[in-house]
Amino acid sequence: MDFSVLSSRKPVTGRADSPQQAVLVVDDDPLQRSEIVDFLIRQGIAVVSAQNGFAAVHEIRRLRPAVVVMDMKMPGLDGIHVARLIQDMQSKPKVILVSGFPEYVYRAHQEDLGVFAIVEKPVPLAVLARFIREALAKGDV
Amino acid sequence: MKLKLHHRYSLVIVALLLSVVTLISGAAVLAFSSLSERTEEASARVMGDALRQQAISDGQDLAALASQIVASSLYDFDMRDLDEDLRALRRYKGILAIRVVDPRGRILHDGSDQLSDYGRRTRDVVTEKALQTRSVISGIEGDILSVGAPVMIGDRLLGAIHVDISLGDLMAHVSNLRSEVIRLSDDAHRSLLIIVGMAALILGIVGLVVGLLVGRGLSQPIRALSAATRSIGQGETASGLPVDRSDEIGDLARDLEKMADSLRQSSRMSRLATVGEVAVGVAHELNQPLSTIRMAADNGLASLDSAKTDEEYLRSKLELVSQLAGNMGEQIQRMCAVGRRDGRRIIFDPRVSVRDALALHGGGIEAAGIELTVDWPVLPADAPSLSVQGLPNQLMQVVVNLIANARDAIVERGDTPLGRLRGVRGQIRMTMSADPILREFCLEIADNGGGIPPEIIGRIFDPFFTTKEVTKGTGLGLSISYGIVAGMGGHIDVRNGPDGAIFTVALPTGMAAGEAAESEFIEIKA
Repeated sequence: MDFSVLSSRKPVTGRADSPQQAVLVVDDDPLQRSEIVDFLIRQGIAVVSAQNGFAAVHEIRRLRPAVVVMDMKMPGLDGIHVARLIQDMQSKPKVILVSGFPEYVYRAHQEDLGVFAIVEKPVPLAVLARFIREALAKGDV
Repeated sequence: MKLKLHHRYSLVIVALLLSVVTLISGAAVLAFSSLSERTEEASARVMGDALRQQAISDGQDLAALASQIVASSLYDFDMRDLDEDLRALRRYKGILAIRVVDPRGRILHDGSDQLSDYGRRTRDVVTEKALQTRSVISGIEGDILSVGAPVMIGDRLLGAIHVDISLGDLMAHVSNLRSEVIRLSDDAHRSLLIIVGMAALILGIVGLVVGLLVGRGLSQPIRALSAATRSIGQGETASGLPVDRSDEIGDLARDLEKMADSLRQSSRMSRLATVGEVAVGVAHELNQPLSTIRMAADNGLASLDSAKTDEEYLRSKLELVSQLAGNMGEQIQRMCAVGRRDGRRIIFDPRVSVRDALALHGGGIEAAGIELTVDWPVLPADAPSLSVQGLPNQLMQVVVNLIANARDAIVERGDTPLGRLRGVRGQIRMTMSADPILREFCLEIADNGGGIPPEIIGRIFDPFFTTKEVTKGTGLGLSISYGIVAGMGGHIDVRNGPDGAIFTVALPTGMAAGEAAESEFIEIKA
């Protein structure tokens, strides 16, 4: 296990004044992660990213993002585990779980994880962004 | 003693023939000996009788002749003449004694010089009878023939003459004849025995030859059957089956052909099952880059829609899309290769097959929540390249099968309420090692699925043996894997470790030192 990823990462974009509005993108695939981040930045959303489950937990505790967009299949701590951990946190971000694997989607639906949405890949980024905006809006209420 | 089938057949046939010959010839010899004994007896008796009859008739003629000779002497009662007559008669060979009596039976001359019995009344039955009946009378006592003949001139009875004739010569002659007959019969007996013996020998040889031919005729198709069975067992097509025979062997050959067909079909099914396994894995693997492609395209479109279009950005997105699409194409190529049956046996790096199997199947395993770890062997720099001989696709099929089996074991154990895996993460650990001294490449696949029950561990490589539900497995995966590995000169074994089954695939390496292995091996992401 590469523990260097546990070191904190800076938010990719500014808007440090409202960290609660930030979105955390968690994906072990750097290509997909950067595509999602790119798109959200273009949409004007503050984005932070993490490359695995451990880093994600660290970032959530540190930055308290409003929404976590997370891939489920990851080595070590996978998306479902992180979602379980989030349930026990004091400030719970809205979680959007994403996966290309029907097994994960099925497992996520089976468990009562209290997530905002479960999205199957491939997903149009516009659709994903709509989910995120909806989650952000709910978080405001 | 181990005997080939056709030897047994010939022995049986020879034994049968010999026993028949022995029975027949024994009966013939017995019949012949009793017949020959009777023949000997009968012929001796017949010949003896004939000779005796002849001798009696001769003796009677002699006596009649003698009576005529002595008649004139008696008529004249000239004793000197009588004496001379008798002396002459006694010179006849075989005449032992000669007597002349008067009509009242008193001895006139007893043929001897002494005349000691003169005047004494004869007690000779033959002579008395001859006097009474006035005819020639004969009788035999021992080997002496006694003949009495009346001496008459006209109707006047002058007396009688008695002649004793020895039959000794005759008897000796008869006995000679008898022994001659016996000798001839013995000769015939011996010839018969020789003929019977020769016949038995010839029949034995004929039987042996016929038996060998018949046995060969029987065992030839059986050998063809066994050769065909062997080649079917090795997964090759059976040829030379005697299917056009109309007998039981033909039936067997046709059944075997049918069985080989269904086995081929089953092996095709199993291959398709592997393709199915791989397809699931590939679907997962393809989904990742597909998802990225979609996102990159979306980002490109979004960039076009925005006020200032960044050409560099667009180019990078298109390049990414192109590269990922290329990768996906390669993946699909590899999957198609699994389903391919034939191919050229080549020398290749076994790790290539393991890598391909993981690339196609690993995603599905991880998606099932199972941790898959792989230890790649570290080869010394000066080691010859790791190479085995066979079909890379087939070895990949073996690895896919073994991984799928491990996964099924874990999933099954995990679903059992009391299973000790509940709450413990499923793990498949693959370890590879290469032994340059034993020239062996070894792949170990260990799972923590609880292992294989000891009562079935010896049967799991048997065809059609399965513990899975009917719809889930063909029961051929392991048996076909076994065949593939055996075909590469290696062996596949299973044992139970502390947490689950451990399958070991061992393959001989470096068949041709210096021959370049297909060295497309590259480090893969763990």
